[in-house]
Amino acid sequence: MKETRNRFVFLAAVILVAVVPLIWDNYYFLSVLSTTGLYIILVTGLNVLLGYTGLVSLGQAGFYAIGAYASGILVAKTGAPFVLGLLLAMLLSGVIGLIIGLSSVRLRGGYLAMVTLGFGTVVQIIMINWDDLTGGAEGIWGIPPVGFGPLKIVTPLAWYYTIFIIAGLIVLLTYSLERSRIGRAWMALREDVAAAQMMGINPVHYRLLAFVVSAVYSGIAGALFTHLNGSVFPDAFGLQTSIMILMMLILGGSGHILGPIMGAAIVNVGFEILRPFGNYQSLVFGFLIVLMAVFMPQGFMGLWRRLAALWGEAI
Amino acid sequence: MTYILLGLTIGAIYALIAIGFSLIFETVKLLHFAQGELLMLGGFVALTLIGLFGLNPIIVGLGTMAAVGFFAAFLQRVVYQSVPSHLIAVRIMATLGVAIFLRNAASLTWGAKARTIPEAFFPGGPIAVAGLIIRPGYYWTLIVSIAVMALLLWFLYRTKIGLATRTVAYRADIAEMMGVNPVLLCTLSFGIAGALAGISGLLVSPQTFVHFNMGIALNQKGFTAAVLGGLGSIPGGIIGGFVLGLIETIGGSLIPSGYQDVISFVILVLVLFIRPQGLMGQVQREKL
Repeated sequence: MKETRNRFVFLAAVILVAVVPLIWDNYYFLSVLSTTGLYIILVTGLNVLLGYTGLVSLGQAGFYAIGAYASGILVAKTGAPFVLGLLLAMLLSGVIGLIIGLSSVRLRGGYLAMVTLGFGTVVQIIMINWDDLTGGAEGIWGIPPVGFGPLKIVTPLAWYYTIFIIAGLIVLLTYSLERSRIGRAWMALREDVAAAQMMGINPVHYRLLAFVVSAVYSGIAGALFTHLNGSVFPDAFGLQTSIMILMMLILGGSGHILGPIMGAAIVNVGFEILRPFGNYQSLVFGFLIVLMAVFMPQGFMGLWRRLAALWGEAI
Repeated sequence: MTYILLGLTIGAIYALIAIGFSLIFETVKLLHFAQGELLMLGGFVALTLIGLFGLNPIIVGLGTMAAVGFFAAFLQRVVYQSVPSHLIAVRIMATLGVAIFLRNAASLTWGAKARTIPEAFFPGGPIAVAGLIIRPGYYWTLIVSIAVMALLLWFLYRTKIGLATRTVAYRADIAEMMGVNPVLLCTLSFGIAGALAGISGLLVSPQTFVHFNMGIALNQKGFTAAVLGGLGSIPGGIIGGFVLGLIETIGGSLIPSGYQDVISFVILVLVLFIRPQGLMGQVQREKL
């Protein structure tokens, strides 16, 4: 029943994503949607860590940055094809995810949050100070667009489809992970570590795996970001980005495959709506985070479930 | 020698933040990621009070502590208490939302420019110790922060309310059975932590400017100091703060200045990896 419903939602989402730009082919609109696609990848990455495995990370922007810089620097400086840049981004963010995981796999909620937050800060410090490689605070400009052989992705429409195809593949991969032995192990660890251990699940291995998967997803998003924008600069990967990813996940519904999609869409479009607030945009953003934590701690999925329960009682 | 003095002064600030972290963590079971922002608020409130009442250290100091303390208690009562305690990620997010809000509110209210409290605010002239000239801003930081720490230790370990606070930290349900109101005491702890942040915001001004973005780095350093000493332990936080201050200033003189803020992160990871209970705390690590 649940599976049929999920399949139906997937199918509906795919059709929606494919058709929307054909109806409303507007440059600004497409770029907002493309960013939403990037965030779907990033938030799905956090969902693997926090939603399934129960590990709080405030350093997702760090992995995002590593992916962006790895691919950007390789492609811009050596002229390597995008595919190599993407592979390097995945490899490097995965390895660093493994290192961060190794150093903090035994830490509890709040401690892990602080270590990952510190990791994000350190990545940003390195980006700003390693001038020769990263271009310092200015960043790197003029990075060539994505190309698969002779096929170059330049128009906003092509970008839109590229990002959503990759995001869709990642969501599908995550969905099959969730339903596999690995996903069940992650969720068992989230619920009760001791019980999971009794079932023969090695917490260290599975948590490290979650770290690596999450970091690789963020690395992919980073590589796409670089080539979409044609530039990388430290400002895009600050603490606020990590917080935004966390907010999207919680708002959309942590631990649910569709949570990241809903959260990324709502928050990203919402942030665009807040744009007329100008200087007050971030102020309002912070205020909304607090309101959400107080009044909707379970996000929209929780709200939905509560409404569904009420509905069930009514009939 | 200069480095030791600088290290101790900045260490005193880290210690005050670390104590605030520990106090909140023990009673409310919350890692308060907006602690650095409360400190920033303290700096700006102090500047405003100086504008209103002139360079009167007593009025400004007490006024800042009271203002930020009440604000922190208000935050606990209105925001943090309403978030269900088992949703760790949501609680963390709430503190981050408060931090973003305060940063932007401060930059809109007081401007984005870094400001500093006038040097004449700190009474007395420079004094010479062992051939070293110490400016009043620095020695007052040491004197006031050590006095505040002593006062807090006396309060926690020698008064009845202090005992009640420690009981809530130990187990809220037992405290409640003893006739203690945990909700009230959690608010009180937040108020104390806020007052500590407020006075540190005033004291930190001679070393780092008062700036709307100053909270992020101070937050991480205060937390590192708390973990170094043992999160949850007040004496540990004091020691951790001074040790971190010393390591950072002495170590910072050896590496490029842009990387100075990396030191506290490295220390944090090392401590959590090698001795997660810190110098004086209990084990906070899962045995996997």
